[in-house]
Amino acid sequence: MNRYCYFPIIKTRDAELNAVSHLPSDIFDYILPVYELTKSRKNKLAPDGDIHKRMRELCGIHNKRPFILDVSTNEKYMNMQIENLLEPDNGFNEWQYFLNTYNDFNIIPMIHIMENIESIEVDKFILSQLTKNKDLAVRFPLEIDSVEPYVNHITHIINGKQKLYIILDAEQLTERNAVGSEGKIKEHLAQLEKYRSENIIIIVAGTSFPKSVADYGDTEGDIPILEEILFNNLKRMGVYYGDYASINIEQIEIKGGTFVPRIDIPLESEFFYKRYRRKEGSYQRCAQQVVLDERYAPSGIWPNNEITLAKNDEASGISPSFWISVRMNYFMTTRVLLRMSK
Amino acid sequence: MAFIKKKNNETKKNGTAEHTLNTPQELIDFAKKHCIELCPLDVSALTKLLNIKMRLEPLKGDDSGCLYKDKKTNEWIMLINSQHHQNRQRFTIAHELGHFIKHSGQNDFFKDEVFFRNNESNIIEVEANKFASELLMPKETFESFVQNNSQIVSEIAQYFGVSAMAVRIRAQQLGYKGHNL
Repeated sequence: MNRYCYFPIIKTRDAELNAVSHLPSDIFDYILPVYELTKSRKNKLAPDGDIHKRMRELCGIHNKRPFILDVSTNEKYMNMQIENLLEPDNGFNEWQYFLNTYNDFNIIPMIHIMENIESIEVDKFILSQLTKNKDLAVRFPLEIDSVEPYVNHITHIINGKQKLYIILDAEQLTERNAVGSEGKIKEHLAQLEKYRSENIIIIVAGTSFPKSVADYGDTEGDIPILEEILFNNLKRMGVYYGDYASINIEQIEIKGGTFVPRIDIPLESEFFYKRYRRKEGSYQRCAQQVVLDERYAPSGIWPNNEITLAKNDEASGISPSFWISVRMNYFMTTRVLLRMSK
Repeated sequence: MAFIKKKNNETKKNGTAEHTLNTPQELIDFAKKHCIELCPLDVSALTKLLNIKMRLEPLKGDDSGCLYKDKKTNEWIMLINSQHHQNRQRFTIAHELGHFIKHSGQNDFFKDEVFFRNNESNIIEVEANKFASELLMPKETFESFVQNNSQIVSEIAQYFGVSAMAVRIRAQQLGYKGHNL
């Protein structure tokens, strides 16, 4: 029986890790995150961002809690170490070696898929993990014509011995592509029907969080959560909910500058936000306006405490990155509560 | 998203090119022939080109790195301490390349801690240090930079992507004297 109800895809950047580190234990118990390993923030000693630093942070947050580990293939977050992990030679030997380094932690490895469906390197990798009794994960972008041949090949090797998490990743969802993405996912799900079993867990993921809120209003606005709508349309097909934990696919780490302070509050199928420039009241005014909004229903979790502190001009952080953490944490908590309530 | 559309064969198998390479200059020529950046020399790309698998990972204490032949895969593996400064990593990589080019016929395991120790008496370590210096700071390029650009150690170090200590030692080898050059 799968006890997880929520599978957020999360890059291992500072804001994201901070958000996860503040999850209440009873919420975290239902989350199986899919981490996209990114290089760490540059510093004098490691100008190219040592990925082991990220892994230490990640393992420190998770301890024995399991997580799925993937690697980021976004050029902005890659370095030579990450490129090595994608080298197919000898059954993805470098990926195996890296995973072995963190053998003390409960990591579910992502299978790196190759264009050649019957790649011997992929087979060798899967077999290497099966000998360690590892569950496995595989993630498909929707642009693949058919995921069935891949799943057929992988499940044939796994042969029901371990769990396989299959992630159908719609990536960035917009009002324009949402219907098309849903149709494509339905096609994939129909093809995967014959592989259904207790050990096959199919997750549908995507994010509609925009890169900028410019189109939604200056001082306040509502942003739809299309991934929630997508899931609600598909849940009868026996899929699990995944998303990007309210992060835009192309979001880059903001280092200050001309950003406008904003606090985002997740509701079931939309966010509402309050946004005031620094000279117009900044985070304190955002928080005051959030509290005045009748849709705001605090439940004593970390984001609620941070909003109260900000309202009283005692904010713990005034960087966009900090408030992204707050939003993410809030969003992830609400997704678990939504799943549990239905 | 780890969906690999094509296997990257760009740097695959350069035959046994390393067996014809004996000196830092021959290695630089080899790099040039394969369009690798020469100044500062891209030692990581050069390592890959020689089919050596390089891993950057935290190593114990003062360990800089090591080079060994994996008995299972028969591959040469270079471990570099990911917690060290990039310039120090570059020197370590160049040092291990020195072992690979000059000593891999006699030995298949090299472990390296702190370089530039005054009392270094192990001949193969001395050779690997000299190899690294010459590879990262070729004589002609070094002299040309000092003559035409700067004699300040920190600026020379920045240009070659090495530490100030490595510049001073190379300068001594080339007969320069004084605090700056």
